[in-house]
Amino acid sequence: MAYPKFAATFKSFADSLDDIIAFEQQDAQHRKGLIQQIKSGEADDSVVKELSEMAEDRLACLRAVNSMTKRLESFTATFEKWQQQAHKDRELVLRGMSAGDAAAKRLARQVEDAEHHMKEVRTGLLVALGQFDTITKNLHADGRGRHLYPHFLKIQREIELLAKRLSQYFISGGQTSARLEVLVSLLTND
Amino acid sequence: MPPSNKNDSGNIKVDFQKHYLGPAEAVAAKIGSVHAQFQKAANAIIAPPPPGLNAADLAAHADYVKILKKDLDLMDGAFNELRTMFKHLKNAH
Repeated sequence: MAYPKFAATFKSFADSLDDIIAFEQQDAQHRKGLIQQIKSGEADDSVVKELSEMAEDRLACLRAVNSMTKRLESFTATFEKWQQQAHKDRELVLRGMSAGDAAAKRLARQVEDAEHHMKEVRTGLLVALGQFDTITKNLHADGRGRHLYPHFLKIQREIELLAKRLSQYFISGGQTSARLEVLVSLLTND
Repeated sequence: MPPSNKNDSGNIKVDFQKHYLGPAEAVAAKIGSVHAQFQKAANAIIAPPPPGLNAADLAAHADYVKILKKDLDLMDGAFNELRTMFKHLKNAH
């Protein structure tokens, strides 16, 4: 990631500013000494030359500082825009996540409702199977409807098979529902 | 065993329609109603997921539908088979 490196660069730069300020304080003392020499008439041409060169260096440094200040102002304004955009992006992500959570909850409800209806189907089928079983047993006990008995038996077996398939549905469906529930709880941190 | 009487020839007459086929038709009607309920529940199970679902949930839902679709189709076929059987039962008498 580049941003941690940039942050380290800015920190190092801020530390350098502290060094420059410390140097400037020392240099001011030195300048005062030179000026004192000139004022007292003790200074020769070399002192004047040194002060003159120092003034030029300080002026060049000031120009560089002014230039840097303008660039920093521009950079700060740009960085604030980046930061605002980063906040917007974060809000979008959070909104997107909550929309995803809500959708996952809706899906879990949809599955739960369907499972409930399927349980009602199984109950209805078991009731029908019980009723048909009674009719088939009566027919078998009667003994006078032998031509119909195989048909009744076949239907009874088919209903039993269907009831068994419904039970299988609850096994496979239940497992998947459990996985969805885990997924939803992970997403919502419930 | 249902009550019976004798026909003109003196043979025992059993009212199959009243005692067996009629109740079987009632069961067939109930199963028809259960089949409609099943189709409604099955359609709800394989219905498209709500919008806004993330990729992981979409994949989980697709997995869920894939697993159950085959079972639901088989059960639907079994209900239709039962309907046909009940029709044949009436003709068999």
